[in-house]
Amino acid sequence: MSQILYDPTGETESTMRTRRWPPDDLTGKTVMLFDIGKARSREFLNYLDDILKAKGLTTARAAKPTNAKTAPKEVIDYMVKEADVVIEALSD
Amino acid sequence: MTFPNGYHLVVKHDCPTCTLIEPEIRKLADNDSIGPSLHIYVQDEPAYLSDLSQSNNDFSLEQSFNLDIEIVPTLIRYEAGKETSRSVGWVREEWRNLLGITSFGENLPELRPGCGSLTVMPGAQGFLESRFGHLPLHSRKIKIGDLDDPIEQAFERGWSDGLPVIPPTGERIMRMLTGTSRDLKDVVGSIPPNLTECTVEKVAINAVMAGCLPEYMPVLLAALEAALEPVFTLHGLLCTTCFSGPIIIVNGPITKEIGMNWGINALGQGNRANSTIGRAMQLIVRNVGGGVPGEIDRATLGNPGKIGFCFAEDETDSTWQPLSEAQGFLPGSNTVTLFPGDGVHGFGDQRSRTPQELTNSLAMALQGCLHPKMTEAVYAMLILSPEHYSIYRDSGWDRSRITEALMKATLKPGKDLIRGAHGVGEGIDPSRVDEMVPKFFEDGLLIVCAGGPAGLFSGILTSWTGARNKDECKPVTKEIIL
Repeated sequence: MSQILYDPTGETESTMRTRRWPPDDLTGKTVMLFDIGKARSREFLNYLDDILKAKGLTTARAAKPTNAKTAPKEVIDYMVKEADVVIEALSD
Repeated sequence: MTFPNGYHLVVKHDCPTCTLIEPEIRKLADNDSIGPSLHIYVQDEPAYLSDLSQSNNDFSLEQSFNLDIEIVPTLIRYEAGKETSRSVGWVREEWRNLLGITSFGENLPELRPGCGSLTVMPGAQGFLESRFGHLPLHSRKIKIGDLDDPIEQAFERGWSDGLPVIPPTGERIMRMLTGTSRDLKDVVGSIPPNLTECTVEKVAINAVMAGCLPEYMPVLLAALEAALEPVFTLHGLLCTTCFSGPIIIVNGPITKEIGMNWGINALGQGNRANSTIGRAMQLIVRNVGGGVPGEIDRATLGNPGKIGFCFAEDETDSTWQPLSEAQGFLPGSNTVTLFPGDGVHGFGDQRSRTPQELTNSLAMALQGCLHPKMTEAVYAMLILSPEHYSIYRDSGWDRSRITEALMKATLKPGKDLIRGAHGVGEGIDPSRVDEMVPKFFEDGLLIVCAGGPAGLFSGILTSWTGARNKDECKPVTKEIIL
């Protein structure tokens, strides 16, 4: 005899994926600077942008419209298409 | 469910008719043609008929339930995998016909009514239905041992908010679903952060665990729908480092019908509806959506209201326009308002006696929402106690006049608010130094009435700072569909 409980969860399962290994060298790669929409994200990313460019690296920018919501799919798709690596920046 | 071909007899010791016919049952067991295909199910006494090889204990009532027994004794014949005849109680002619023995029971009276089967005891049917029946539920069944404590199992499986939950058994879930006319497969929405579809059935399961009654379901469903409106921004609210969580304010006749509290200790403990509706919402966020503290819920401190925060507005004073009407709903509407808020900031003023004095006093407290030098960054909900409201009411001030006066009283010179002013780094942009700066956006101050009749104490709820981006995070009011 046993007791039966009903699952209160969403009954989803996580998919385990192998993490892509960071490149050994950023030469020729595009570094995406991703602004999550916090008050001073842009200021922080501008600082990083200057440092990366001074090292001769290629950068690109993407941004969430607001930090309060998840990134729209088109923003994620854009980064997947254009970037080799992403720096996601918080500000405060 | 099918049973073996033959004869199935259900009895209990605590039934005078069953004990009356015991000698005949023993004859049947010894009968060369009946005995080998006779199955006896005893509901109660272990010793009763236990010497017979055909006897089976049915203390779990599984066989009795599956045979749909309401009275004992009941004798059933199965042929070709189907029930072909049934006799309820002791009716000698029926038994003779069913058994094909013309002289059976000649020493017994012609008729004796039976007794109620244990399967029809009060409360038994729902329990048996959930354990042995075919419930229309779609959620995964989780079997735990009879000796397992289901409350501890819920803790171990991560289903709890830290307090014990009511075990979600089929019987309880089915009872909870009687509180709504919606189909249990209806999808209420996708719950962040995992954006998992949440059916009415999942709402009911979590409502059971929170301790809700079925009649709370319409309120909970409306609250969940309101929380899932994009402008409420539930995802951001549940993962923020801030203190906030969803606060539910209920308006309309339903508050009385389900016994909600808007009076003494309205924001505190002690009322089942207030305590469990908000809790159910947060359990849904946790269990269905995956919003777990320490994982995606990154609150620096949180607040005790994140266990669940729900209360009703006091609508007993006809001079006061309820929040639901202020939000555009007809008088008498049942509504929920979802406010993304922190815990309660207490406000006490026992000296102000005029509306303007009280307004000036409240403005000082409202200025403190989030930070005294931060403006247009949060909503506020002022919870006026009856005694504070009476100061306004007795001077003829209504909701709109109070709101207008408070908005005006919370205007501040920019020079006092800019970063660095008064030796405080926090503040607004220095470019606003010469402006008169409002504390809130134009729709940023909500007012409700609640609280006990005595005490010049009101409360202030500050919203999540996600509201600083105007129109990206707002309170949401929705009608409750009964």
